[in-house]
Amino acid sequence: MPATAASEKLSAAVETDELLVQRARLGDQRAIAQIYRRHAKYIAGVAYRLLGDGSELDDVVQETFLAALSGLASLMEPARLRPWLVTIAVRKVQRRLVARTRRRWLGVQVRLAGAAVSDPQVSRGVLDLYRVLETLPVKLRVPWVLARVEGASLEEVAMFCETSLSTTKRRITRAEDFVQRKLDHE
Amino acid sequence: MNELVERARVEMQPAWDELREARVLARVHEARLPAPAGWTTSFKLVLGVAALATAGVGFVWKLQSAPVTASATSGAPVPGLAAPSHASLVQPVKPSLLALADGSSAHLSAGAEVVAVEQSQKVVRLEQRLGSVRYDVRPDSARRFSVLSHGVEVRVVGTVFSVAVEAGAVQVSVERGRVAVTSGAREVDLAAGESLRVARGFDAKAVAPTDAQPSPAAVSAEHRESVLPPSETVASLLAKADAARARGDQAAAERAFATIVGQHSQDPRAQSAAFSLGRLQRARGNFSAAATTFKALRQKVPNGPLAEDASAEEANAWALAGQSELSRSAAAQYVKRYPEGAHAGRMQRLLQK
Repeated sequence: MPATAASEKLSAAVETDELLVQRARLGDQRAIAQIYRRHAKYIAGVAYRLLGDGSELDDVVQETFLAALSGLASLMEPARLRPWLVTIAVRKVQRRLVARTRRRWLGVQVRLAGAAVSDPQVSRGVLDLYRVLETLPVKLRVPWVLARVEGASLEEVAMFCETSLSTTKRRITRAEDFVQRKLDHE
Repeated sequence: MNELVERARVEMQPAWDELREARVLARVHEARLPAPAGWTTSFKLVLGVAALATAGVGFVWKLQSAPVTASATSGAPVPGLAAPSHASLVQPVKPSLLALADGSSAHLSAGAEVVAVEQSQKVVRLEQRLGSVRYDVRPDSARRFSVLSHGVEVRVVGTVFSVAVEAGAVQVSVERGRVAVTSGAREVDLAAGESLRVARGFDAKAVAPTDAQPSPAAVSAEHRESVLPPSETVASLLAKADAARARGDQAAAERAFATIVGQHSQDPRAQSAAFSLGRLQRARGNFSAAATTFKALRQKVPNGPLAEDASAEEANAWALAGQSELSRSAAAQYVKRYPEGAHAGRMQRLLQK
């Protein structure tokens, strides 16, 4: 859809997330691309650390932005675009992690589209940590990674995971105990 | 543990560079594009053929809510056009097309049989009884689209995939998008390039990935060749290219992208692979090769999401190769096509050189 006169007028102003969202809602393709370029790397980083590898990263980032662009009208606070994108990405990651769990349970080695790339930059200890996380239920793993690895506050984790504060706190605590116990045994 | 978590935060960084960013952005753009106009044309063409159909010529039904059966049974008698609640499609030689009311379509091979069990705005449920069928499902997150075949359910949002009913098994292959294959209480997600062979009358032990050699009794050698994916899929080549770039091996990354462009040119991801290939060629100093790659991409998909960038890259690469005339020509084409484009200023400067 071509940019409208209204969206062009908006583009003259400082391009905050809020303005970009307004322009994108009017169908401005450049604003859409700018939103993507501004946030894709950050979203990819969060998704990567939640997934533990890059095999499904492109898909998660693509799905996140597709869902976000489809639902821009529902974004209540355009200035808080990034947290909203993270919430969507977390939802997409959770779905992938649950599917992985099912695959493991099924015992089927489906040939993955993008094989996980072993990153030589990652140390043994971190690989061990992610091996432990693989055994953690998704509903505990995701809030724990968001809180401990991403450094998000309890309120932010609750928002990203779409759970109550008390549930979030309980899950992080359980995950912490689990991870600590497993690491101690290794 | 705090130290370990801190290390994880530092070390767990994806290989996310501008090429990968551009590739995913192209995928986002592609996924947001409306259904290709060509589909409407082909639909009308097939519909026209149907209106003129005599014996043995394909035709299309707009399915009603009541169950409809479409089959392509070689040698069967030609049915009448009436009785939409249970109509048969006979297609002795050419493949048959079943057009669904939601805009999706099913391409039936000879001998295939599909029944529309349920069709509404929210649900499209088909049952595939026989043969091989390729489904092209129009994206619609509000509608649940599923194909049931001998106890195996394939659920999709918007994608292109095939289901083949074989002796003792159902083979599901995904060309584009993603599907969830369910059998009993078990579910497996399949992405583009993946395929899965599930035993009919599900038994967990009988489920085998396509990579495993199927029983010769179940699948003929000829059929196996046709359903097995190529040794290197686009997805695995992209993963290989990402890994190569992450370790700084640009030559290996270039080879992987070139393989995608050369061997998988019809795959939608070939466009972004071509763009990445051009950027790598330019980065490695192969400016003429880069310009040629960008030119080919621009010409192949003149309205694609990467066409504008490829056009500008072509002009830049020719300039770097010392081919001023070609550079000016490419820059002029860019300015003509994208007068307000993001690279218009730079192209104007090239024109003035």
